[in-house]
Amino acid sequence: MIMDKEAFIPTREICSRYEVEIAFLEELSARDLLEVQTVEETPCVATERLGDLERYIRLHYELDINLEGIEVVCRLLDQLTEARRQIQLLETRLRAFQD
Amino acid sequence: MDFIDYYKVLGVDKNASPEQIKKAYRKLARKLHPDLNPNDEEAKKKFQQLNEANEVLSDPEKRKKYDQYGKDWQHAQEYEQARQSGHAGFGAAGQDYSGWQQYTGDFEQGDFSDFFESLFGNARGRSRSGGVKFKGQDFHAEFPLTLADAYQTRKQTFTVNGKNIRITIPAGVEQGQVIKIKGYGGPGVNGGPAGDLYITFVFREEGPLRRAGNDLYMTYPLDLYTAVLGGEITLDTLGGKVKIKVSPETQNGTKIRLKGKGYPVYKQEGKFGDLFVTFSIRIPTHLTDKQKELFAALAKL
Repeated sequence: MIMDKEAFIPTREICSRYEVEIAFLEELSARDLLEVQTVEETPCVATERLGDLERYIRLHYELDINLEGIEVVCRLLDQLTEARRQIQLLETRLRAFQD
Repeated sequence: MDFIDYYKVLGVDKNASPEQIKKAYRKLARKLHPDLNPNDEEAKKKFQQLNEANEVLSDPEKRKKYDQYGKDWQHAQEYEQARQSGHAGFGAAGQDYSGWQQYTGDFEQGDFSDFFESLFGNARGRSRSGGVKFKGQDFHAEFPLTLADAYQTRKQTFTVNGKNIRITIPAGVEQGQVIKIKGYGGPGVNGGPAGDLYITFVFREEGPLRRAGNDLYMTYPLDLYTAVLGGEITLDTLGGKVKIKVSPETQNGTKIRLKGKGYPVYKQEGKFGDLFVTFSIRIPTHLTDKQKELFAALAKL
């Protein structure tokens, strides 16, 4: 599989840019919150996942939520988003029947 | 312009220590932070108020000024004007305050309130401690549509921050559906990638049709005579006019189903839902004398 180099950022660069420890990225990876891939023998994170990573950094370093908490928070937020989507669909359908 | 009670916002006493203020801020931040309240405008507003309160109360000099002027903030305005005309003052922008903490996030920080700016001037543009940024901000936009707009796949060009974007809106796109356009968000920082643009499709109701999934619903005002005697009516659907037969003695509230005349199924070309038509029988009004006579005769039969 050919990987587009620009679509990946080395983890060491991420640590430098975001001023976080490599252990933090390793923990996120261990919990399947972040995928670390090897590109040309360098551990990297997909650029597409930077938004998620920034969120984890804010949750951990600014709001003092531990890694276990981040895992739970992310799962609950996914459920919340899906539930809201379902509610919106149901409300739209209900309006169709009310008229 | 109203006075803002920053102590009330943080839920602390006026004599609260810096530690107590910090603790109160962190506790409320964990509750109101936009990362933990996605798409919640109310939480976002409260978080901005919380940040503003913390900006003032966690900064010894700002807090002192706020406590001094408090409800007499208009005097502070006069002081500010005197300061800007060359007199010594405090609260100069760009000064780094130790112990000051502010939360960042991939959301619009929003302006400070008029009240804040009247006391402290424009405090934007200061470097935030811990506000390391790399990837550009994501942008979120709503794209309004009618049912007719999304009945067929079409291309649409629009401009975001000076950049032209051409997107394809597939037929049958759902209410609230979000598409992501990579790289059309805010510019990256320190060589980071640009953020993304998220477009949410929002349907506004127009006309008699209502949508539920791939099915469409409408109420048709059927005249009494066609309902009683039967006949033919022509419906205006999104796919064009459709003639349908009405059976004699059709009751009010009768529902008919027109297969395949509903809304296109998202990303399944040629496949459509159904159209459900409910008849609402109209009693004639403004009857002539002759018509009344005939109805009276009919009633006696």
